Amino acid sequence: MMHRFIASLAMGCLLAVAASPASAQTFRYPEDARPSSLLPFFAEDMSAVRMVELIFDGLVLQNKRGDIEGSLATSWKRDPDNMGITFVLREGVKWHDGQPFTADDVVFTVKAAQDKKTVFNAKSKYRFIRDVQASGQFQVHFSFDRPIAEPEERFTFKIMPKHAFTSTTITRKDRFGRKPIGTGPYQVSKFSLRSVTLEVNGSHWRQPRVGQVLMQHTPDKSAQINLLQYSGGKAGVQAVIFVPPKNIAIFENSDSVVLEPYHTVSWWYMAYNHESGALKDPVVREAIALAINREELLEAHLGRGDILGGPFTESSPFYNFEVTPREPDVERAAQMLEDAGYKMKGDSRKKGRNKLDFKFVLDKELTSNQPLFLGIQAQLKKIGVIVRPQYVDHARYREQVFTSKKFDLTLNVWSFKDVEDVYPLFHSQGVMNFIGYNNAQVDTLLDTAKATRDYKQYKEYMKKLHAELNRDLPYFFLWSLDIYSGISKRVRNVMVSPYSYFTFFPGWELMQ
Amino acid sequence: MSRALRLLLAAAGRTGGALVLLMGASFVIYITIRSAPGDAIDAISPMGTPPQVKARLLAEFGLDRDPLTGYFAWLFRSARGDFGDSLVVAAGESVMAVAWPAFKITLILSGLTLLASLALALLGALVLGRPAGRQQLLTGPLYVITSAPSFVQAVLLAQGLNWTIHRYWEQLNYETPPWYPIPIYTDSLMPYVFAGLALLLGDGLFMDFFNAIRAELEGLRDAQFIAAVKAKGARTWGHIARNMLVPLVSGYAARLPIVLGGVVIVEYIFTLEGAGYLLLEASRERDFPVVVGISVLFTATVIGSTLIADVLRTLVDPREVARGG
Amino acid sequence: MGGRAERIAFWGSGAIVALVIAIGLVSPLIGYDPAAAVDYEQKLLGPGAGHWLGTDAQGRDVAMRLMKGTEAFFLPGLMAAGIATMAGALLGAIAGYAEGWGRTLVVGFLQLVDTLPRLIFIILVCTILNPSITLIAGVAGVLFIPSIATVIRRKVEALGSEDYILAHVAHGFSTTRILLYHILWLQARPLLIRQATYVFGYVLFVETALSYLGDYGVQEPTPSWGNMVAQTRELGGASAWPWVFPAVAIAVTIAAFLAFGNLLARRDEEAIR
Repeated sequence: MMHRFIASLAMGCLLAVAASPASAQTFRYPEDARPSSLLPFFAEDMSAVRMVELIFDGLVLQNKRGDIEGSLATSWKRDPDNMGITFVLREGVKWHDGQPFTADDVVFTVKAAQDKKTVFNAKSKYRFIRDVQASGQFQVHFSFDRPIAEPEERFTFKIMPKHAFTSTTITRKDRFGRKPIGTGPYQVSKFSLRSVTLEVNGSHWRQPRVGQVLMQHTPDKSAQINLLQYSGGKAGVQAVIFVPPKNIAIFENSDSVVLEPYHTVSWWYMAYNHESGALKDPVVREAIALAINREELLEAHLGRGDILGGPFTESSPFYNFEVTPREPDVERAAQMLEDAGYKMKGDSRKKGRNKLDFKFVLDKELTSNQPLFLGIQAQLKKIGVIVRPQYVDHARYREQVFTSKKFDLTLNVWSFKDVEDVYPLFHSQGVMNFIGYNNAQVDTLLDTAKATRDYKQYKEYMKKLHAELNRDLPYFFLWSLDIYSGISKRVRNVMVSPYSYFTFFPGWELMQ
Repeated sequence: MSRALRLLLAAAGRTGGALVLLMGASFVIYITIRSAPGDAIDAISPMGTPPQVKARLLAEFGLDRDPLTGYFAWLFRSARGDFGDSLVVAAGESVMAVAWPAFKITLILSGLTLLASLALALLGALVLGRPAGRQQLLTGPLYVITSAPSFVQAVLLAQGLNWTIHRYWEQLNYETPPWYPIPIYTDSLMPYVFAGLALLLGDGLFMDFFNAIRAELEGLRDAQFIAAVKAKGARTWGHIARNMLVPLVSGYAARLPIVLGGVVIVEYIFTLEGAGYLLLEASRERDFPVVVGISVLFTATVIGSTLIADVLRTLVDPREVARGG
Repeated sequence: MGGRAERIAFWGSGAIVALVIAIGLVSPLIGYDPAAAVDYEQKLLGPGAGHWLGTDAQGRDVAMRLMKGTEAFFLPGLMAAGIATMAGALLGAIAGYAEGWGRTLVVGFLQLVDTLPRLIFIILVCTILNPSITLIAGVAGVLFIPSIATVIRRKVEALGSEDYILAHVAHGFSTTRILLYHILWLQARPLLIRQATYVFGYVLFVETALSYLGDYGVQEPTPSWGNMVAQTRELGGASAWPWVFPAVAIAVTIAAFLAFGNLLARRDEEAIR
């Protein structure tokens, strides 16, 4: 390192031409955030989810048509009473370290997930499994705690090797998070501070084409865009996961890059803290919602998207098309406040002890929130509502907003893996109800919906919920975005999967 | 003999003092970090984690001890070279295994930059000699340019290069030139070169060096013993060089902390895997063993460089021993 | 010493310093509500009649924000320079004059503070407490105490044995008076001027650098030269106007303050001699 360093300082650009050994068969992409752990349980940030998709396999996967297809399992059979399922496993599969894959690994993964001392976000996804048993080396049977209609789609979770762990208690400090061993199409060859290099697993049954994958943490979005724009060269990247809407124009008529739309179930919201002062008053929530011009904000900062009235996106089966999102109306908002007794005093409104002067907490990690906030601040100012920003880092945000609830307003995004489950968000007992929301009607709707086994009825309840939440404003629902990934035209056979992005990567090809 | 002994004692005393200082500084840093609101558990645990589970995680991460007890346990372990394990940034890895490679990059980068700056300043001082009217006018703009913070230099460099590529991209056959400063792959040295350039140009480092060396040279040329050597008809270069060595080395050591400060932000701009990047990431994620480890490395470097400069001064100028700390 | 070039540099840098101080003093009197300045119809305009220096991505006037941005460092800079010079001079005088454990204590404290890497320690403090520019300036002021104290201590030690100081002692002047008036004010004034302007320049540097990093410095919508430069990240090359002017302002202001401090101190030194 040292002598190369001196030489380069001395010889400058000449040497750098020679010092670019990256193979042409490398697929490179930048990420906004660093994956903290590649252990599937702890892969909670999206950058880790995407990597884990390449390194590990599940028993099944969702194919391009959205159907369930075998992966580590080749076939399965449901129990007649829908209380269990038997999977037949693929034979001859080897872990990246050469050990054979067997049914014991599947049993271990479920046991580890259910171990009380293993703590992770997605633990509830394993709760429906009552028991798991291996019968022979390549067959495994699961039994459930209740009848499940289409159980196989719940088995996309990643399988981990039993031999890499000493017990089913898995902690975040396990080094496996940095040196993962999977069965997937790629294996980790280097995990450095801000980049991860993957080498192809030549013996994988899906026969991946690209030889090497390199992910690098590049927090600067404009640097990412520059890299893609010049991706023809040796220094560039072949894909940018998320192209910000304001940069889309650069690639719209590009010779070298295609914009690949992909679907994610996620929506943006502004949360009200229902336990704090004036925000308990529905009139105040309504007035704030009327004062904010979502179209204008969307157009200025984020580009295309759908304005929402409730917690479901237009593609969701629960979306209620009879609900029309509010149109902004500044005069009416101001009048409402005036009528309800909130009078201007100084530069903000006040009624008794309730001052319309709010603490707006923002997570610095979500960089697009800052300009959005500036717009919201200016819009609310017009009706005499003051919002004061407090920018905090991610750890502190979670502590302050989710745990100790010291906020009045905040901006955030919820992403869902497939179908929106909003029970934890809006039920008064929900674990993610950090806003202190308590609406008896909503509770009843959610409880009856949860108890029902009839999907059609469930859908109806959700649509009612959509309407009620639009009326009562637990959050001010903002929008869902059209998301585009920018991918170099040198990459062929591109198919981006929703959420985990890289599910079909083994089919991708890299042209010279 | 007695002089050598005195020197040795003085050096040993200084080293001991430096260790005490390092301990004091590590105490300040440790307590500061542990009093941060929000901890590694908040950063990673799912919303709605029951308190007893959180308590178990805190114990697992060693965050359940009060900061004071925690510090002494930390001190005791780190005295034996064990700085603990990373909690989030590289969970499970030992702190030094994470921090040292990053710190090495930072150290080499700032060390070499400083060396280049020193060499340039020396060259400039020798060539330009005594400042005359017109030259002083020339140094004006140079002064303004080099006074800008290194991060401003870095922003200007990066944006300027991007703009150039924008402008001439088609002529470049749609290929990113190899000198592109923020490439994605880690093997390129160009980002390091540009980061070094920004550090070299910024923070007032160069002019500060230049002026100090020029003043020193002038002082030496006017000194009586040089006049005496000249009168004897001998060559003066050897004497000047010997006498320049100490101010150069101590000037180098004194400026190292300044460069280490600038490098934190410049690394961020050029996306280098250095200690500054690690420090920012780790403090964001409340990975406090890593933050403590990296801060202590920075502090140790500052103390170490001062110590070396002190000892060198003592070796050359025995009066320093008498003067004491 | 002196010469034409130095005179030009002195008056040139002095003019810039005076301008910055004048803006810093006048700016708080001008009404500007950063919370209401967003205007999407006006975004990313080039310099022109309505907006002398153009507008940024939020449609806010760059010239106005540039002027209001001085508030982010002006008073905090003065505060830091005040803390550092006063505490530094006092502790330096004690360290140079006193004896016994009081001196040991002071010297120990100074050495301890001196070993903390400045920018890194400021970043650490900012992760813990709500980052505010007053806090940053306060910490920066404290971190600069040792470097000023050391200079003063050398001066006091050197002067302590000079005949005329001994004569003052013999005349029965109080120690405090000798230290504060005869040594610090009459003899160490140029040193203090130089150090104070240096600290002021450092606060400008830290403010802009941390605001550039985004997580620690002055937060939007409050304007600061640093968070204006930080817009490069958001703009991705769309327009240079929003950040070029603040970048130049940072460079020129720091250079002017350092140069003016140095030259002023040199004039003062000559006057004392």
